[in-house]
Amino acid sequence: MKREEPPIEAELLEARESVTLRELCQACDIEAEYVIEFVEVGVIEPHAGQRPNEWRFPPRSLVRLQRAVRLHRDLSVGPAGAALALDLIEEVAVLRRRLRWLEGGPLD
Amino acid sequence: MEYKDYYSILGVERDASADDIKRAYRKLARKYHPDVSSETDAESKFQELQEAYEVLKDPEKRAAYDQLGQGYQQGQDFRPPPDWEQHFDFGGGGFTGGDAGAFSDFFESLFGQAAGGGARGFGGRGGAGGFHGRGQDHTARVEIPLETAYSGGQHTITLQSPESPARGNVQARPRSLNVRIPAGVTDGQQIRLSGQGGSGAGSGASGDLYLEIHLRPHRLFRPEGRDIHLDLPIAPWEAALGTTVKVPTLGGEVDMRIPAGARSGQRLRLKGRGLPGSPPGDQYLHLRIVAPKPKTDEERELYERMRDQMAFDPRAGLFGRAA
Repeated sequence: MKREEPPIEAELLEARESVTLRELCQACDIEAEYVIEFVEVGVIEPHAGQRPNEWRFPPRSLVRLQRAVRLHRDLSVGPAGAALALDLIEEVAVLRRRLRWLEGGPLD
Repeated sequence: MEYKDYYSILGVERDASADDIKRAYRKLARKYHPDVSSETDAESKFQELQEAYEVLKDPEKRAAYDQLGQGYQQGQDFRPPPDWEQHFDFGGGGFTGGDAGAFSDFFESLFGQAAGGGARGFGGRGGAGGFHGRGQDHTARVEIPLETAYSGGQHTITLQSPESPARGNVQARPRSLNVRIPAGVTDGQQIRLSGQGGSGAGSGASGDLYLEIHLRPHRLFRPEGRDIHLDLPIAPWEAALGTTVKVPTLGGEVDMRIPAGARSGQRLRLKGRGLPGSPPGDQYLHLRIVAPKPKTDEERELYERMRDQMAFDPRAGLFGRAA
């Protein structure tokens, strides 16, 4: 017999005001210097804080940074290239969705 | 277990040079990388590529693979000789880029012992460098129904999660999690499951699991952020005269007033009927006027009377006036 376990509670990241540099480092398993490099080329942008240790990022930054790290790790894309690729990837996703609607509505 | 033809996976000849292999891998990796590709099986394809490259880029592994795999075809049943590992030393090589946690049984049986420490979930990093008390954070992508995003609720996900038993031999084992999805999550957002990532070392806390949420395409509704779009078919007389119709929303049916003189393509808004949040999204109705085919003589006569009595040229704007 399988016992019913209570569901695991999940936190919606977007509901938070911001994420910290430390959280970004931890979630992507990278050093702070590496995050700073990605900030310098605009992969992510802090919306508060002057110095790196005061930086606060919009929650959406996490998904972008993880993606940039994967592109770097798997495809050897540099930080500036990752910034460009991410913008294009996001734009393509929006266009693909619109195209799907226009070409006969949503799919099952 | 099935033999894997790593050469055919990368699309190279068996005598391909290291450069050829690298080039072939790079090209295919760009095509199938899950962050870039729109192919439905991108993730498994990419995994397969990484596995193939992991072996073929390393001269020692490649030599071992070549020797063992002579005469085998892709998919054929394969058993390695019992003592074969003694001939090769993979101990120091380690893994550089691949996701060893999700490699195939075939790979595991050939190079399994070298995989210690290299395992990770989608997006995580290997733990080879340095000691950390806290477990790693893991990341995965999950598709949920739109209804779950609207009302929140339980959703069971299955992850290919690497286990890390004490002996260091890492195996990917599917792990099922029953997750309570918070209401109002939108496409592309992340949720965090505290303590569901990699186990910590010693007394260190476990890492977290981040799930990137994607909404499964819905039969009727098209989400855009928190807003929901729906095509609403109406009859020509409903558009002309105005009416009140029942409209489906994620929260159930509501009555909607269509103003007289409504046009095809017009957008009506049901405030606050989109995905919940602060503020909640709206539902937009895109009106589509549908003219029925006349089925009886009476219906045909109705159309004929409209043709004869209504002075209406829908194409008036296409000709002449501009000049």
